[in-house]
Parts: sequence; C-alpha cells; structure tokens
Amino acid sequence: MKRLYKSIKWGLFLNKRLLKKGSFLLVLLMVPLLIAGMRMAAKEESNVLTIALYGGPEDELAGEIIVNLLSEDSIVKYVKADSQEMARKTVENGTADAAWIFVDDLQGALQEVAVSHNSNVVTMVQREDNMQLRLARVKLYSAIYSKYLYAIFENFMETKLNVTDLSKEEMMKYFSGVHVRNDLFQMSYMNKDEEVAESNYLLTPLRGMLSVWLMLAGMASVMYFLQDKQNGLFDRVPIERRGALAVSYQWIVVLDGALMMLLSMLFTGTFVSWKKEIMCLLPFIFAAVGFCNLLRVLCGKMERLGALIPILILGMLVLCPVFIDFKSMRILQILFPPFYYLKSISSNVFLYEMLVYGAVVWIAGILIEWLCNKRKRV
Amino acid sequence: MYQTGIEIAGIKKNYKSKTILKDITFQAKRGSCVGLLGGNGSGKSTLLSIMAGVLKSDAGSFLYAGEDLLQKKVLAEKVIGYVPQGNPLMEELSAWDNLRLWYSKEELCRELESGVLKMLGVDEFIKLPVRKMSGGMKKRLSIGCCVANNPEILLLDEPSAALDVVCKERIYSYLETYKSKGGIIILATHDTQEIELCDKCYILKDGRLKEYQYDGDIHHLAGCL
Amino acid sequence: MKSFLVYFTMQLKRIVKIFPTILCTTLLLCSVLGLGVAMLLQADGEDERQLKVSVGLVGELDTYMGYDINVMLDVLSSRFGAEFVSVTEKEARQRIHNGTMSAYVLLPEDLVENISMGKNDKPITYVTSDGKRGISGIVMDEVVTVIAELITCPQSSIFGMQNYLRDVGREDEIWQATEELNIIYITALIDIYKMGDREIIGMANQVSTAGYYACSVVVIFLIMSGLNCSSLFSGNKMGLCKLLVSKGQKVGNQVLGEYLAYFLLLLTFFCMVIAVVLGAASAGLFSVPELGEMNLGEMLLFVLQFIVVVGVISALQFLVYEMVEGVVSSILVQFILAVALGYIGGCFYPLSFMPEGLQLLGGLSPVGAALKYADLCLVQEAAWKELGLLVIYLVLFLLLTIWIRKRRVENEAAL
Repeated sequence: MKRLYKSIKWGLFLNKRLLKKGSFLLVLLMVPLLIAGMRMAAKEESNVLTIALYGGPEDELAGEIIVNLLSEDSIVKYVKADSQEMARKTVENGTADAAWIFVDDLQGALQEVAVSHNSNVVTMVQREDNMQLRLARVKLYSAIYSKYLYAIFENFMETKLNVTDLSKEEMMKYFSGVHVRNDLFQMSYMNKDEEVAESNYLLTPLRGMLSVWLMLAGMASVMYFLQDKQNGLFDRVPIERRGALAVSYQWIVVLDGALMMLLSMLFTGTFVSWKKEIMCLLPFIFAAVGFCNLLRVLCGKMERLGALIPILILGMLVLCPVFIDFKSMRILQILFPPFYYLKSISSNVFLYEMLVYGAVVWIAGILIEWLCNKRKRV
Repeated sequence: MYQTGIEIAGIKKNYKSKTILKDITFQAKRGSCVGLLGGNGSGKSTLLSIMAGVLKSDAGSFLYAGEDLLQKKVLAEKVIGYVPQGNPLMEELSAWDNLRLWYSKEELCRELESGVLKMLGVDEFIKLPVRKMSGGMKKRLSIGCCVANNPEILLLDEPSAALDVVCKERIYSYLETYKSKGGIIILATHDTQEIELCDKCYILKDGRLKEYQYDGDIHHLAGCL
Repeated sequence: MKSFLVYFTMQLKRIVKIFPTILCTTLLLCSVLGLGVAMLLQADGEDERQLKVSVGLVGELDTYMGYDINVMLDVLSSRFGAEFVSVTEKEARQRIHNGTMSAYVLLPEDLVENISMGKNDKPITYVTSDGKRGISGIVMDEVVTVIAELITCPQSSIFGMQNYLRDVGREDEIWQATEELNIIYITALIDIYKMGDREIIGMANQVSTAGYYACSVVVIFLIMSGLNCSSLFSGNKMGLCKLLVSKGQKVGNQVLGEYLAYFLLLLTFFCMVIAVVLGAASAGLFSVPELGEMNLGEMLLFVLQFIVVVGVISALQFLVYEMVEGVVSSILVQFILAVALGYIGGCFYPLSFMPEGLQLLGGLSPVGAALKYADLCLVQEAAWKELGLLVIYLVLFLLLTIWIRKRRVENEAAL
C-alpha cells in the first residue's frame, strides 16, 4: 500500500513537472492547433479529381449527362468547358486531371453502337492513367450506360419485337416501367451498431495520426525516465522498483495524451460515442504503455531509443491504417498498438485482440526486465 | 611579460527592469588575484560575462594598458581568457579535438609537452572522449581551452565547484604559477579555499561591490553575503 | 575566418563520430519509407483489371434474375478486377478480419421477387470492415452506387419489355425476348469500355503521379531524418557558446558553422536516398516517367537543384533544435512539425485533394514550397518563384536561429 502510494505520488509530481515544461505543453497544445486547422480545411470544398466536360451545343443528351454529373455530390469535381480546345487546355495546364469530350451527336452515336457495337461516343483526354482516373471512368460509363441501354432497348423493341406503334414517350415509359430504385444497395459495416460519424475524407487520418502521436508521447516518457536515470534521480531507489517507477512515468504521460486525444476528436466531430471511445481507448493505453515499457527494457539507453523513434513512428504511419490500409502487410501491422486501436473502432474482435496483445507485451517486458535485473545481481 | 593592471569603472547592467549591477568599480594589479564573492544570483557571472565581452554593459569601462577593452573587442579577445561556469566542451570529441579548436597543432604539442596543459595534467587524458571524463578532468580541460594564447587576464567563474581535493590542488597550483608570471586573475567563487588564493576580495551584494577581508571565519562571511 | 573554419571542422568531426549510428537508423528509415512507396505503387496497379478488390457474395439467387446478376458480377469482375467469391457470412467476416477480403455483398432472400414487383424494402447490403470513411471508403461508395445503376437499369427495362408484351397479349414471347435482351445487355456491359477513346497526351509539363510520389518520399525522408540528430544539437551548450563569443566567434558564425555541418549531413543522406530512388527506377522496380526521359546531365542538374530543398529543411530543423531545449522535447516537436508540415505541404495527400485555401497555404509553407519546387525541377520547368521563396525561408530560419541563440546567451549570462 505504501509502495502504491509512493508510485502515485511520484506520478503526480512527474505530471506537475511535465506540465510546467514549456516544451511539453507546446507538444500537448500542438495537437488541438493541428486539429483546428484540419477542421477548418475540411469545412471547405475539396475533391480528389477535377474533370472537364464538353458536349456539342446542340446535343440534348450530352447536355443532360453533363448537367447530371455537374449536380452530383461527389469527390470528383466536374467543370464545364466551352469548347473542345478549352477542355484539352485544362488538362494540359493541370487545371483538370482529365477531360471528357462527348461526340457531337451523342444520341446518334449511341444508336450506332447499339447496332454495330463499334463506335466511340466519348474521348477521354488525360495526361496519364492512375487509380483515381480509372475509378472516375467507372462513373462515366455509368452515366452513359443508362442512355445507351435506352438506345439498345429501342432498337430491340423495333427490330426484334417489331414494335412500330409506340411513341417516344410510351417507349420511355416501358423502358423505365418497373422502377427499381437505385437504393437497391445500401452500405453497412461489420459492427452494425457502432457506425462512425460521417466526416470529410481530409479528417479521416486524424484518429490514426493522434494514435501514433500518443505512441510518440509514450516513447517520450520513456526517454524522460532514462534521462532522469542518467542524471541520478533514482540512485536511492532499489533496482527492483525502478521498473514500477518507469511505468508510472509512462502512464502519466500517456494519460495526459489520451485526454488530449479525446478532446481533439470531440472537437473535430470524429468522435463516435463516449462509451465506444473509452472502450477502445483504455485497452489502447494499456497496450501502448506495455509497448513502450518493452522498448525501454530492450533499448536501455536514451540514445538508442531516440534513434529508434523516427523509424517506429514512420513505420506506424505507413503500416497502420492511418492513411491507407495495406492488408498485405498484416503480419507487420499486428506488431503495433495503433493497428488494433484503429480497427477496434469498427470491430469488437480487434478490441479483444488488443487486450491479448497488451498482455503479451507487458509480460514480455516484465520478464525481460526481471532476467536483466537477476543477471545484474549475480 | 604583463605590463599593467586593470581598472573596472562604473559598470552598470539592467536586465528586465531589474538592476543587477550598479556602478561596479575596482582595480587589480598584475600578478594578483581578485575574488568576487556573493550569494547565488548576486551578479558575479553577469559581471564576468561583461568583462569577457559576452554581455554588453549599460555603462562603464574596463581599462587595460590604457585601452577600454569593452570597446576594443579585438584586443579583448587577445588578452582575456574566460572560463565560464558550464564546461565549454563538445562531448562527442576527445580532449585533443576540443583543444584543437583553440590551439594550433604546434602550440598544442608544445603546451602538452611542457606548458600549461602539462601543468593542468591534460596530457594524461588527451585522447579520451569528453563524455567519458570525470568532472575534474572536464574542468581542467576547460581551463586548458580557455588559456590558449596565454591571455594576460583570466576570468574564472567558480572553477573548482564540485571537484575533489586532488583536482582542486592541480588547478590552484596552476593559478599560483599564472599569478607569479604576472597574470591577473578575477575569480568568482563561493569556495573558501579559492578565497584564500585571492589577494583581495570583494563582496557583490544588491548590485554593489564592497571590499572584504577574509579572515577564515566563514560565519562572518555568510553574514556579509 | 580561420577560427570559423576550425569551428566548422570540429562540428563535422562531431557528426562523423556518431555517423555510423545515424547512418544505421537512417537506412532503416529509408527502408520503411521505401516499403510504403512500394505498397502504394503496387496498389495503383496497371489498369482497371488490377483494382484487386476481393468481394464476397453471401446468399443465393437461383432464378434467371439471379443468373443475370451473377453474370453481371462476373463481367464486372473481369472488367474491373474485382473478384466476387461465394462465401457464407461467417467466412466473409473472418476473411475481412484477416484482410483477405475487402467487403461482402449480402443478398437478401426473395430479392428477385421484390425487384420484379418494383419493391426494394430488402436491399442488397454492401458490408465493409471500416466505419472509417477514408478516401478509399468514399471511392468504394461511389463504385457501389455505379454498380447498382449498372445492375438495376437493365433489369428495370427487361421488366418494362415484359409488361409491354403482356399488355399486347404476347406472353408466349416473354421468355425468348428476355433471354435475348439479357444477352444484348450483358454484351453491352462487356463492350462498354470500347465506347470511350482514351487519349493520353503525356505529362505536358505537369508532374506524373509517380514523379509526385518520388519527390514526396524524398521530402518526407529529409524532414524525418532530422529526428535522428537530436542528441547532436539539443541540450545545454551555453558554456561553449559564451566562450566562443568571448573569443570573437560571434553567435552568427557559431550558428553558421553548426548549420553547415548539419546541412552536409543531410546532404549525404539525400544523396543516399536519391541513389536508391534512381537505382530502383533504372532496375524497373517502379517507373518515374520524368526520370526516364532525362539524360545524365539533366539528372545531375535535378539533383543539384534539389540541394536547395535540403538546405531549407535542414535550416528549419536546426531552428527547432535551437528553440527547444532538451532532447526529448526536441524529438517531440520535430516529429509533430514534420507531420503537420508534411500534411499541409502535400506529402501525404496531394495538394490538389485539399480545399483551395489550404492549397494556397500549403504551397506557401516551407515543405509545400519545397515539394512544388522539386516537382517543377523534375519536369524541367522554370521555378524561380518557388526558388525565391525557399531562399527567403532559408535566410529567415537562419536569422531566427541566430537571434534565439543570442537571446539565450544574453539571458544565461545575465542570470
């Protein structure tokens, strides 16, 4: 009991000391500043691609397609070009990533395709090809397809079924007769009950970046400990108890950071719910402190840990699903606490795995330290 | 070798609306050691920094051989050796490399052979990296760095703080030799042994300098600070 | 001048002493970055057929409608590289958990009956793993919407055709006509990509995606590698600074000497990473079109032009080391600054993804300006404006560093 009280006392004094350090406060405050900036950015209009559209001035069909695309709420931004040359120019000078130039008589061209299966209806001008443009083309095909289908339908009705007595309106009525609404599909997530708040894609790496930042704070606490140890602050503390002391360093800093993290997510609207956030954050703190403790035991010196920090942090930013989730790297991803935390937000299975991971790193850390201390005593 | 004494006159220094030094005036003859005593934060380091040219004073002069060293930077750099409180060393490098910053190769070899560095015992650990040295070694090395080019005036800020007796003895022995050759030493100190080295002592209190005669009674000294 | 050179030489010596350690950690850093880039480029793929998305199909469709949907999905699979695999829901969830499947489609019972009656109160559910809606999540949403359109439109018109035949009393033709129209629609879906004529005009003085990634990686590497040098530059060195000032080595000279040594260190790392990038590109591991078009002289010029970027980044890091005392704090601040500036500057997401205001800010930030300058140099375009901005930043950072050191020396001496 006395020891516990002493550990808590050390922890509180350490917290007081850290909060008086201007640089530590700056580190804590940099997070909300960064968040505020990102939030401001997310409020404004942004997009992944810009595509210039051009259709013949007399062409109703092309005009209809262009109007539909322009009114779409999408991560692709469409802009109307006044001429073919202008559309091409926007691609050449980098204003647009691609230009879709419809043929002058789109309706006629579609009917030609319906008959001969061989005609171009749109020219896609691009500087290069990449993933985003390939996905945008899927949207283009979809925009044309429904119009193309009508041309096929009309051609089929006239040539195969010999239907000659239907007006255009009646034909259209039969074409879209049984209206199967497009919300035939709906999105869902593995853990249906915990759906995440909608947020702009610019804010989606936020949680990941904060989780990696928390890991950094934990590693920093280990460095503070090693620095103090080097300065002789713990010379009076028995070797067996220094581990517990190191752990209280880590807990205090990580708890400060976690609080900062929670407030930041609340402020930016990436917050899910108090229950979910606490449920995921507590095991994450447990795993993070365990990971940092293991690092402390393995590195032993401030300089070694300092050299490892950028590698570990960068590794986490790349491997953990902060910006992109590289599923093929699962075997490396499972080594880092942020992976479990980020996955646990949408799946409880990862929550349990995080607890197991945490237990493993804690046990490993304690075991290795015990063995090292034993060797020193011998 | 050393022709003249020094005269500090009317040095003033304010810092953030606080007056640290008010009209500091004293002299030191050549071949003498002047001690500056005072409590922590009394302004001893500030005064030495001003004399060394690290800090600018708000008023006053520092005369040597008819020249005001506060105005004549080039001359000041030549004649003043300043040993600050923190060790002015690069931890990653060896003693040799740290000394090479201040000595040419020939001078360095000469001093290690039979000069001031030999006297300070720096030759014993010349190849050792600074990070592996003891406090005493670091301080001796620091002094060795600061006395390159045989300065005529030596400013020392608590040179033997936290050193063992053997180290202190080596440093004091060097200082005595330096004094005997006509050098002027200004020594900021708390240490009673260092006070005994001094020919004259001044107490710096509330920004003013007052002459003090140390008679071995530290209680009396403590009362004056 | 002589004393400056001596001091500069000593700074170089300090760096050389701990260079092996810094080198090891920098190589590891390089490897991690290289891994990230390799995975990113692999994900980009060659064409639609390499989107590499594995999607599970849960549920059964055993009517001709189901046959149609299955065929449609097969076509989509071959056209867009998505692999549709029949699995149970439990298997699908397990595979998503393991990362071997991206999502699964849950087909409700009586789907066909509902659709034929124009109802969709039992929709097809697209289940994915992440509630997090990153760019890939948002893109998948849009693709799913498109797939819905591609499936429902033909089905809707087939039912319309059937209704017509019923209306005119030609029910006996329904089966035949439906078969034929289905085949025509499926053929149309297969041929859809032929309707578009893709015209690649070349980069036309804009930087390619691969080129952008290459420059971003080098810049990220430079801003992160500063973290390795914290033990060199952080900590209390006021004693030495004061002594140097007393000996006529002014604060400006000190800062310049230390900065130049640090700059040379970063330049060494830069040469290493450029050698790796160029080597990988020539070995065919990835393709940067701009580098492929350069001759040796142009490549050397590009590398020389990049040195300005190295200068600015090293000056910024040096300033941070001067501002923040303590090894631990300096590492933390360096990291946060690196990530923040990297994000705003467009190293993680291209600047074009950001809102206009942020694009402007990002372009003016040190890292953003550096990246923009590097991109322009890569396409061998004039970049005088960006160069001017970088030079201003360089001078500003150095002046700030000098000012901070001067204040610290004065404060230390006065207290």
